[in-house]
Amino acid sequence: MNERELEKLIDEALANYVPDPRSGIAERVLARADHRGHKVVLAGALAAAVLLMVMLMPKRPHAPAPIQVAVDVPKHAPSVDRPPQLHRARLVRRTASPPKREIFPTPAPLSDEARLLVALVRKSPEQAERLLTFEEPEPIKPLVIEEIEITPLEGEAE
Amino acid sequence: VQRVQPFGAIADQIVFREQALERGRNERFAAMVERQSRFVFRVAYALLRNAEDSEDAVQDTFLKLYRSGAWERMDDERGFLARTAWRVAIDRARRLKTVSSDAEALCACPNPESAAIEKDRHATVRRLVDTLPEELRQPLALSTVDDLTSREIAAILGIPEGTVRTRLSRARTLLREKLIALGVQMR
Repeated sequence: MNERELEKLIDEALANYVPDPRSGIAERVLARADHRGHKVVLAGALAAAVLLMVMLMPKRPHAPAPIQVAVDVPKHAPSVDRPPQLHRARLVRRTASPPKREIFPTPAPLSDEARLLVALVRKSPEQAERLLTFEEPEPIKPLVIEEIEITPLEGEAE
Repeated sequence: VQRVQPFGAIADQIVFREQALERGRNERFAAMVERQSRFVFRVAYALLRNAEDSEDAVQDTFLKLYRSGAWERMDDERGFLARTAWRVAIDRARRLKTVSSDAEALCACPNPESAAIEKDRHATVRRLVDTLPEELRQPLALSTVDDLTSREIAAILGIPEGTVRTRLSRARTLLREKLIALGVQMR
């Protein structure tokens, strides 16, 4: 095999070194992307639903903590005929205080509508102005009623 | 006298326009997938040498581009896609650790090249390509994909264009030497 034949053989072999994909690769890619997109949307919806449930769940009012009574038992046991004495009693109450907010009122994120409007105003203020305003229609002309002339009756004149 | 339109009506108009834009965007993206899937597959295959993994790489490439929105800012569509596909294929190859080639593996006998010549000559050459060092095989494989130029291959591999030419030349020389060594059987 001479040099030229060798080069030809290499070129021919290399032409098929990287094959073509199976037919319909674009459709498969798009279908899978769509499927993944649905999965993401479904997961998002599920997360939102769970969050909503948590937010709407009725909160149980804080029940006051039971009064705790600590009793110190005296070193020497009291005599049988004497009733036991409470040397010290401590009352512990738990009070739940709401978390302190750094900014009051807490700033809320913009709604979708507000966000879109802001985007539009930033992108094309002229268009936003055109959309937001319109010309007042021509004012209604005042109603003119002609004066009524009442001619006296012939008989009355007499 | 000017009056403000109801806010709901404006929002509806904006949402409608956004939806129309989104539809148009999706159609353009689908057209690009149709146009370039084969090319992206072949770039990924040049590295992965496995159809299944390469198709997954195609999927990942387009998904990545869609999510980032980068596909809308591409100046050189082919070059950009090739570079992205190559990076995705590299990541996939790292995860796979071992590249499983679709091509028949060379036998484990002392001289695999001798065993390979039993098959047809083109298949033999392709198997010999697989035995080349990766730094030589990769540019050679890419050079067979849709007429990629040395400059494009250099951009994909992230090496100078001159280096690509040198490696291509070395790869072919090595391939020739291997084939000449098998010359008797090749006749």
